[in-house]
Amino acid sequence: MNKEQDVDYFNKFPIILQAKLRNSEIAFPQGTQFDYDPILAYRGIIRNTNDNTPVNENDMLSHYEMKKIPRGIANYENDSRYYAISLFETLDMLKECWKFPKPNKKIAQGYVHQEGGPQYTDQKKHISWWLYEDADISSFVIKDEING
Amino acid sequence: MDKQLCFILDNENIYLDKVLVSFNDIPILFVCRDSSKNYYLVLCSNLEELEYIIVQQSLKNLWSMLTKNITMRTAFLSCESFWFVKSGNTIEEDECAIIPKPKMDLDALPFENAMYETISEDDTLYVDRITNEYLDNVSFDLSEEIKDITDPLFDVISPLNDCFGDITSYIDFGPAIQNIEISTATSFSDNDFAQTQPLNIAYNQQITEPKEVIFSSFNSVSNKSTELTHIMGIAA
Repeated sequence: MNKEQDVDYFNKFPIILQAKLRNSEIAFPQGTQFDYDPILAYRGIIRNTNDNTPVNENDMLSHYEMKKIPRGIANYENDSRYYAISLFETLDMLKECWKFPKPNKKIAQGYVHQEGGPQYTDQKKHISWWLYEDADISSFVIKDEING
Repeated sequence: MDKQLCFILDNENIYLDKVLVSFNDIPILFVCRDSSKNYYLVLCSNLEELEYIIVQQSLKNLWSMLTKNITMRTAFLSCESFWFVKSGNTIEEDECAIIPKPKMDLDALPFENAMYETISEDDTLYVDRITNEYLDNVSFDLSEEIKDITDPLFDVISPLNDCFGDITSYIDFGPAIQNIEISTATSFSDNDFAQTQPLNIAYNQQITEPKEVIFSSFNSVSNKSTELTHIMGIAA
């Protein structure tokens, strides 16, 4: 039985995601990895210039947890990506964001790891990471510079 | 593909055309269109409150921004007024207001000199689509239009040192321009044209009878000899 068929496995996730998975309302995309080597990844986090608050769980919220549906993306409550957090294997897209003064932001750098939850990486090097409840994100730190 | 509604401005539905820049999967710069195919450039000026600055864009301005002829900031400042949208719980509940340009929050706009960059193949395909759309509609009677088109071509071919070399990249000018000939003349003085040889070009369509010479331009790369590159385009 693979992980997706193991209902006990769903208990690892936050409650709302558990329910969606058990009821088959959502499914992980084909190519999602459950066992994988750690992946060095980057995520934009909102911070003012002089704010050096360490990376924490508030920086790792999915669209669902933020209760947001920004314009320009589909209302995909029944799409598993709504419950994932976004990271990138490269800084290319995040560098483009630095051409915009708002929001005030910094880069968090750390490792996407299997003990934290399954992940899916697309061809654009975008990572969707479905975090388990109480996933360990302690490897993430604020990166000093956007370049390099 | 179903059109994705983003805003309702003056009772006009505005749909997503292309996301250009995202912050953690949240679009912060994107292009929209209405049912009349007018283009709009949208900036998320406040990510936490989901507030947006929206300006209508001419096709030329949009093309100019996407092809790095103007900065992203210039594209936003090209309009006399803009819409400011504060997201409601639904699109119908958005608060929308038309604001004159002097009241635009300049601090929210992209930094000066910041150019749009394509990141993915999707981005490149979108720029190609807009370029073709622009060239299909542009008037070639204006010298400014011609310069916009020929300048990028010079960037492609000016590094050539070998007059028999192949062009390693090409620009699709779309159906409005046909039969582009590119030839390099090697000369030892300004008036001494030794010979001309056609170079391989990736885009060339034959027409039987040219209607009008629209433009011809020269570019020179000086090395041991003077190389002149002559480009002639003939309108369809």
